[in-house]
Amino acid sequence: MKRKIIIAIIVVCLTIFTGSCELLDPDKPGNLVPRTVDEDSSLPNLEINGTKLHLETFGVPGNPCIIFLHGGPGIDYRSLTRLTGLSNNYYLVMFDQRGAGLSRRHDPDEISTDIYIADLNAIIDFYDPLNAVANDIILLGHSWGCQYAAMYTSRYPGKVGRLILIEPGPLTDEDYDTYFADLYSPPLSEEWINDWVWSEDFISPDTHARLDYREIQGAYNFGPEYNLSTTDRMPYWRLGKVAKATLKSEGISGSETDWDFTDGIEIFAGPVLFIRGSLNQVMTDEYMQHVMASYFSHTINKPYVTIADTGHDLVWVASNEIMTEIRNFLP
Amino acid sequence: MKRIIILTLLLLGTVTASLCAEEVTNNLSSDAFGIYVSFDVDPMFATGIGVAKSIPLDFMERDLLLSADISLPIFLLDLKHYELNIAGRIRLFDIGIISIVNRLGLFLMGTDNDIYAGTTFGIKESILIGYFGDGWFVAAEAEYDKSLMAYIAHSDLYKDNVYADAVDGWYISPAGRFKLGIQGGLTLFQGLSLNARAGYTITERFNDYTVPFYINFCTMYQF
Repeated sequence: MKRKIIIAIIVVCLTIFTGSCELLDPDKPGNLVPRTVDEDSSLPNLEINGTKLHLETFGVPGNPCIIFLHGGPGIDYRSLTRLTGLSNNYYLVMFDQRGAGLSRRHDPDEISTDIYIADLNAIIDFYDPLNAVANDIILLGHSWGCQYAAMYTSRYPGKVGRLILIEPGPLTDEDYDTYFADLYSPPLSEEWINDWVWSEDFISPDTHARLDYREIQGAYNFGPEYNLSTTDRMPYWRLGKVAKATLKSEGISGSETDWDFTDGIEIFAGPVLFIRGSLNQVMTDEYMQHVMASYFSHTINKPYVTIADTGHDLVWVASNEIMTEIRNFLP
Repeated sequence: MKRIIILTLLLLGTVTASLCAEEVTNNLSSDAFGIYVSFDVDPMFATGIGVAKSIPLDFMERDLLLSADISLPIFLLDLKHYELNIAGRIRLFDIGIISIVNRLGLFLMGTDNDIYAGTTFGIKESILIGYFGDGWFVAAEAEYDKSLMAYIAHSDLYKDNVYADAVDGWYISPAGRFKLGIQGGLTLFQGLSLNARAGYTITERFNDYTVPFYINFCTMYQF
């Protein structure tokens, strides 16, 4: 009798509990991470090359066109949105790369550097269908975006007029080993790593949304050498875990296919603007000089600017200074 | 101070090294009480302490081993990250020299990271099939850990810089994990025994974890 009473009390409590609160579905779009363009039709987008990209334009078509390539891989262009002040003089195209940000999610077999090049080629052809203003196509890259820009320009040097490379990531496998390997080998005692792994028992990594949700955990702690601001934090919409992992596995040292985003870059002779933040301890002055000398020595006009008191988030925290340098660089 | 605590726990865990399946040897005597210490990679480095009590069930001619323990991640030694377990284990069948043992438990976990603070609870069900001799055992194990619900409260960092509309509340069926591995145990001398288990783990939808394996070492001392 006593046992029956206890069981009844437990059942009643559970009933009251589950009835009094809404139970949420971790896989329902919008609960844990923002919706992608496939889940929210109000987001600005462009369907191209078999994908649907979260994409916005600013300024007047017909002006010289700057195409923005965000970092990661797998991040988004939210941190670049303070540069929209350039729209007074230029036509700006900002987009979340395939599988990243609020763009459509893809499985690994639909993501590769070749596909990324095809995506960018399709975007350029869309905004410059006659290739009539090739000299006015400017690729602006930040971090991985610079690797993306170099990779595309190496393949299609005649379709790009100028490059703006803001703290480029490793352009070759050797550069990764020399300058970046330590960054991607943090000690296991790091709190954020333990948090990140421990949380897998809270939300299993079973869907794109769940993977992206977990990925943001390390974003504000990874790479203290980047010296990111803690008072004016660089924002994100949504990180694309599968895109990041797939592209990195394609090129990181130890894989069968080694990265080389500079194969063919010597054909491109256009002006290149290099920018770094003075506080960045990874993309140091030595590293930038190495990049300029090793891969762009043939380029005559290659101004190099250091923005004071900024780290790797300079596109967000020093946007005014960067826009000034860009206006000085562009015709 | 924190380093001393970590090293002490590590030393205890590795030297005493045995586990939570102590009851399936003959060395946790019927109606006995034991204390155990564990060291785990499951999924991150953690250490735990627990108590066990063997209760004779005369009507089944079996002993039911009840246990309760708490684990903390070694590099996050604060009470925001924890795992509490209570479980019951019993030998179900003997088929020749092979025995089948069942363990059913409840767990409660907490975490507090950059993007949310969370609490989850669920069940763990495992089956061991193996040889349980006098003073030692070896068995294959299969386990299913199911998080039934998790309460998630997002941080200001996440809402201010990433997603202001993230929903706080009780999430249903947010996680589940399968484990397949082996366990072994050895009694050193009366009252003290060692146990180890290791294996492969995958999500309930058969996707990979960051750490796709688990390892546990544990020691129990019987009073």
